[in-house]
Amino acid sequence: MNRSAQLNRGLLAMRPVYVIGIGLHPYQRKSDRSHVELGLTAVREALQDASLAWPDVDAAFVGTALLGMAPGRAILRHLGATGLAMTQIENASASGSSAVAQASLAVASGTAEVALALGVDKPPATKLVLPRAPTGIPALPGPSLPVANFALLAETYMQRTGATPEQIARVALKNHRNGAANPAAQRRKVRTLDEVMSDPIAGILTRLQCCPVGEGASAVLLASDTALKRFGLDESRAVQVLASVTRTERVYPDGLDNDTELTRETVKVALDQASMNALELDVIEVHDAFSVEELLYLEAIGVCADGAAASALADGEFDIGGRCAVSPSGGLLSMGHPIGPTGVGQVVEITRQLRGEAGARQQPDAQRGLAHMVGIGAVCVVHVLESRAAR
Amino acid sequence: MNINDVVLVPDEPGDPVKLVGGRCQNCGRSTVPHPVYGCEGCGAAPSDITPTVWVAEGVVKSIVQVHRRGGDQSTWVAKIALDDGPLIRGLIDQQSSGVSAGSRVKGRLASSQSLADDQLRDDLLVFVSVSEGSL
Repeated sequence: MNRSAQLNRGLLAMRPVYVIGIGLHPYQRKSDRSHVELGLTAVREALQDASLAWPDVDAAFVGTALLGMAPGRAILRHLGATGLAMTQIENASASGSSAVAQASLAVASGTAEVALALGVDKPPATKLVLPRAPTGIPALPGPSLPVANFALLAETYMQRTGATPEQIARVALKNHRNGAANPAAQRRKVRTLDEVMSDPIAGILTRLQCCPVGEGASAVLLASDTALKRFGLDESRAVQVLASVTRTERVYPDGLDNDTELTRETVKVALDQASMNALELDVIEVHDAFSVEELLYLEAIGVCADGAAASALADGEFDIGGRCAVSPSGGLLSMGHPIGPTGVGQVVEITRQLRGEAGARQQPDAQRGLAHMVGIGAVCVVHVLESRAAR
Repeated sequence: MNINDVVLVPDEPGDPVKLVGGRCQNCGRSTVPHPVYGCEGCGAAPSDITPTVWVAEGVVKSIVQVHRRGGDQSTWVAKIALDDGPLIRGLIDQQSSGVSAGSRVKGRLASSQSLADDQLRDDLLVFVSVSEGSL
């Protein structure tokens, strides 16, 4: 790891940053609703949740991977053209997470008292093809489907740990059960194990073990202590962002998975900055685009030993009510993965949990949470959050 | 004749298919294709990376079947450790039976239908079990 990462104390070296408002437009299949309406729904809900007015916001960071050039003002001007600072952020699947990271940094550094992180995306009118410019490097002719890559990973995971296809499918069983209790989720049906294991896509991965494509929006408002006092906000509902860490993959020995090792490194830095142990986490939202990923990342995060995630899941340790609720929102598998909104939506869910406002999905006594996303690159963005009651 | 500057088409029937990559003289990292801009492992300049040719043969580490939506055809995809070379991902010939983790496989050319002009071309690299007959 480079020397600056080892020395960097992160957000806690600067002013405290709090999530004070959250909002969502439900994730859903592609519809006729414009991205403007999706985004405005989420932002208005966040403003109302925070008891703030739009002119109170100093800066906006809009995370989107599919909306093209400069969609932020097209959305936000309808709240009033206040002249606030505005920036679009693209970081593949982690676009929304990076918007949260930049908004947190703006508040922590003092360049904003209140900052918005908005995640918004909508599949294009034609077939979804992720736009990537040619690099000038010839490619080995062959398959490049992400689902094939994770299906191969699942095979390796089963060979290494003895986990069974049924145990891996139980990730999706849990997450669909959680998503069924989430009115903002794209998939809201409780499923049987037989249903989860039917309709194969690649290897052991079936349709319900792969995240859906869709649209949506999510928003979080972040504020400083100064803003909390100036606007007379309810400090008991403020959730502190203790760490915000972004890293990219390095070269790992053959046989190790890049996203898993990247997660291990990024989470270690984030938990070190937050002075927290993985076993202290009460709620985790991870990049479970494919079911096997949840198991790989939980082991990398350190909530269980390497190779032990499948059996811990089967024992209920990661259920809502277990020792650590994983993907209580339903995760990418059930809540959905509209790309830009996803990482922001994870922070929305964790904030609800740490406030004790998650209703039927509430993890009892939740005080500490971790949001994890990976994106093509690969890039990994991790946030660690804590309730006021924990301090 | 090369396919896409990565796959070397054999000159004679029976000759092996080969893959063009690079080996970094600074850190030893091997990759296919050749890393034309520099070494991702150590940052060495392109001039420190030696173009290297590997026979397209190795051992399957893992293999999965990928189903095609709306059709009854599927493809098989594997991670293959080339002999004394890097780990790559490759298609396994659908007709090739008995390939599983641990199997030795070798590359051969197959035909694909061009979407542009509907012509068949030998531009698809697939891997078959080494126990099958050669080209």
